[in-house]
Amino acid sequence: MGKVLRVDFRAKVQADHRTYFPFHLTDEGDFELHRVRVGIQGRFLKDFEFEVEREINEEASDWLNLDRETVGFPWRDVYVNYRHFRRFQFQIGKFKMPFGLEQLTGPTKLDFIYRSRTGNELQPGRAQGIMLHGRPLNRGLGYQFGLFRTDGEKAAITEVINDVGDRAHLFTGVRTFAGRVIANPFRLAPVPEVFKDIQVGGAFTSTSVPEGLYSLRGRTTSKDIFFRHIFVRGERRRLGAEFQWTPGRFSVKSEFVHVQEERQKQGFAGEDLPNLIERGWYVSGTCILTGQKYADRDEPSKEFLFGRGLGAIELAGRVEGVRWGSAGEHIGRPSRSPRAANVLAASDRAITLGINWYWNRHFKVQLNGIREKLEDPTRVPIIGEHVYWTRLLRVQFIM
Amino acid sequence: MKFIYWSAAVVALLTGGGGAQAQTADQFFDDGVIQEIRIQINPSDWQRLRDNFRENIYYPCSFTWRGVTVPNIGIRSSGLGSRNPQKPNLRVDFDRFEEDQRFLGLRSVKIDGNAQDPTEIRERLTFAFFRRMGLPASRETHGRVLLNGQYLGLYGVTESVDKDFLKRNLGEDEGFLYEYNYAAPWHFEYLGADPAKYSPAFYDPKTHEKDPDPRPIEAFVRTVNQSSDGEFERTLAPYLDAQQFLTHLASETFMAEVDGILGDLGMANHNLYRYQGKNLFKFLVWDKDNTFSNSSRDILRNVNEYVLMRRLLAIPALRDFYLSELVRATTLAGGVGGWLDQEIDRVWGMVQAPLAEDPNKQCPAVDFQPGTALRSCTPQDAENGYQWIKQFARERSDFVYLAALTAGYRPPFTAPQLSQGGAVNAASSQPGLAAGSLASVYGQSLGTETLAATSLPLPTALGGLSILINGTPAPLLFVSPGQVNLQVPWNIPTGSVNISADFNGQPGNTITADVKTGAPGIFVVVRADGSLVTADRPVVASDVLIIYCTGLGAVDQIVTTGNPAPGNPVAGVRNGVTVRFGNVAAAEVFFAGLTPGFVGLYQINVRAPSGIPAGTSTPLTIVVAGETSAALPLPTR
Repeated sequence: MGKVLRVDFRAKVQADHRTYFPFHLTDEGDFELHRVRVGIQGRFLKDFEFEVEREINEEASDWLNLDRETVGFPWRDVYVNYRHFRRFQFQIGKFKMPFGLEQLTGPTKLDFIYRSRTGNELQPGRAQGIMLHGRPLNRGLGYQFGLFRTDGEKAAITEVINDVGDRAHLFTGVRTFAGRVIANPFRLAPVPEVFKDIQVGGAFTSTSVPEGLYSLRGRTTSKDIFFRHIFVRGERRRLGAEFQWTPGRFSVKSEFVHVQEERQKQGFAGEDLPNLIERGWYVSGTCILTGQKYADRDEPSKEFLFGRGLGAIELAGRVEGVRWGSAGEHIGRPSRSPRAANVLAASDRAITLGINWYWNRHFKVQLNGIREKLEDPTRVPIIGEHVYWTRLLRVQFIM
Repeated sequence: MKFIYWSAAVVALLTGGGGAQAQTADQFFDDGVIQEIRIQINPSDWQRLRDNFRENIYYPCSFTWRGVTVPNIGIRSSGLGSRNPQKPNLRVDFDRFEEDQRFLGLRSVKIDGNAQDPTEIRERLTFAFFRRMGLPASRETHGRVLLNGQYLGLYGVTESVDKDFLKRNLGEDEGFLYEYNYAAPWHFEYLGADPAKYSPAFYDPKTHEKDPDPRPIEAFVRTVNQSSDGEFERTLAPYLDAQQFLTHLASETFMAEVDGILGDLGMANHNLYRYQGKNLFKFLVWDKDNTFSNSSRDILRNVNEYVLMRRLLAIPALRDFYLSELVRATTLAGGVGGWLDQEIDRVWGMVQAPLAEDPNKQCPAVDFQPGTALRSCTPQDAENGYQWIKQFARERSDFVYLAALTAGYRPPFTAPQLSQGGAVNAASSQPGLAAGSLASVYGQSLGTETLAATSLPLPTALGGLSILINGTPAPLLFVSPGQVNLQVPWNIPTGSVNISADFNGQPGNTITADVKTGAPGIFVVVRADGSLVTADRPVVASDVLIIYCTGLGAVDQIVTTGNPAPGNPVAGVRNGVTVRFGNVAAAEVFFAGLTPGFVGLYQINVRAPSGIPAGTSTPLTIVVAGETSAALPLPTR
């Protein structure tokens, strides 16, 4: 609508087919509409950006009579950003908290079908809040600092609230302070051009968690829980470090996340217990076989089918690990009890190999194979099985 | 995984044995003491448990017994109609968070507030009675439970029916165990071909939870309901040992259970086990705090409402067996002063004080009405409850025996028959017995062999025969088809007692006898050098004589029934003893007491007085506690 208002309609559809070895049942079944999102993005009065996006895969799955997981939070991004001063922008609404390279990458631009366990289980996700952000120094530096009402959707827990099984989501953590700083340290340095886009960053969150079974939990790729919520109370602090390098048709990314959760007065006699520590990391790499640069893969010049080309074909690989355990000196027998002083450690390590095929800017097909190994022999989908394979196929459409 | 410190005592407990401090589950369930159990739980968890007492949510805590702590166990509220927030029943799972964690080899125990029982001892007594009947039953004791250092109350501490129980009692644990879930009134009717209507609807799987396989239960119920009368016993045999089942029901019936397999509101309170590799089922006793309801409760109550029981009792041989098991129950329980009567006093003596101090004790608004509301108990509730079960113990056996006779029970031809008035002093053959002394009991079919005991302590069964005095087995010296010589147990009180016989599990009739403080009878008199008194060598003044006798009554130290008398020090009688030669009393009685090394035999060492009348048959008598023995004629000069 001229210079006053611009509105772009967006849609994202992702349909997945999964196979697990050894076989075990999941709530979503073998085939699901993983994401069906519609939304609008735009700008008004030149200085205000906005976005409203909603997940409608429940409705779509029900219409198609497909198994589905209950969506916890159908409204995704709903925010307004004031950008008059590029170096000092102000955003308010519901959006992703500034933490985590992978978490802040949109779901349609991920190198793999699923984010890493670190991204899914340790990073906060979306919350309502306000944020100050900008890219000073000619975009050589980036910062985001925000204050949020909760500790994010990924830290929320689900409770059954009545006899018929209705569920409600309970946010853990109040008044979360989050910040992230990224930099291209070699941007102005006398180094070969290929190194100039190396990006490093660090992030943190700090929140107060009330008493309860509110710790972060660990889930496998198939969403089986291998570390259940335990009792916590006090501060939950996240620290993250990230690395990203996309030279030409390659990319290398890595993240490390450390989370510390206090357990004040959570012992049997009301004594303080050692903090719960969660650590996660991944290292991933991609290589585009068809010659495009990494930044151009989403819109290949020679599109598949109508462009009479192959589009862009990319190989991807990732190794990752995530672990829960107690801080400090370990006293007493380790236990799975939610009030154990010495928390029995649980970890999930995985290797993912994948092929991404970008047909054009609208369609993408991904095939991933994941090998997961779980540490605790009793907290596994099938007792006695440590190692699980997952085969995933995704077809994605965006507009 | 890394850890630095293990408690050696905890290791010993968790591995179920070994080490200098090793304790056992038998010690934990020792029913001779009131245990003390300490539970440490986060206060907010305890409040949540109370607030949500109807939920089966587990909360972590630590469990301490005799100074040894098992950390990180799980407890939850348990029970059906007895659930309450004031004094919650607790299921304690030692392996809740660690699959291999055990406490004295136990995976779990039940700590029960016994809200439906003002005395808190009915279940424990019933389980003990089941074991007397030869049926497996949970071990149970009582304990003071302290929660976070505060006295929560007196609880029954009960062994769970789980794999450990199955292994210990049945010799296997890989079968299918189910706990009965009272979903609706059910009397074992056929509900259709869908196995789910039986399990998990009524039978909640406790083992093989992921593959419970309820089809054999459906087949069992279908067989009970649909097989023809002529084929019933044969087709039922693969599913149920009918006699074992009837023994179970006879035990429940004798204990006047209102909420059991033949409950007034439908089947309730039991476990069901299917043996591994078979379709054979076994019913297991559970939750017995609604027993002792009424000493006059009909022995055939609810029988016709329950398909399985009705069809079993329609078979004459099984009906006779059921009635004979009821009679056996009366024998084992005894009546006044019998086993049950004494056991009530023994247990009550232990629990009375901690129960009086229980700050949270709950009682039913209406006793013996399952599901009734609960209220706080008054001190009078416990005393009234105790008097009630005492009266039950004293009356129930007589009622059940007469009811069995009325229902058609006739002791079979091979049943042992005691002669009325046939229990006499072993020395004098006169009526009147005394505790600790030797007696003879006469009758018929008292066995097929003539045997004498060959070892000490004396056995309570010899040649398949047992003699019960008020339900207490008597040590036997000699058995034959027509006569039994025995020792009257030391703990038999004075008064009228019931005496019955059991030959190879077949109970016989019951006779009565009088037990007195003293009932002297003389076996023989010898001189100090061991020579006999004869006409050629009559008794003269100053002769030192040893009178071997029985029935002198209580002695001055504890002597275990069936065991020989001690020699150092010797056991002297408490009652005064007078020895008369004719009308002349002996002035010097050197010793009166148990003969060392013998069971039930007394001796009196005495000097013959001057002034004894001369004669060939001077009567020698002993007087104890006002009772005079039959006279033994002695030649005197």
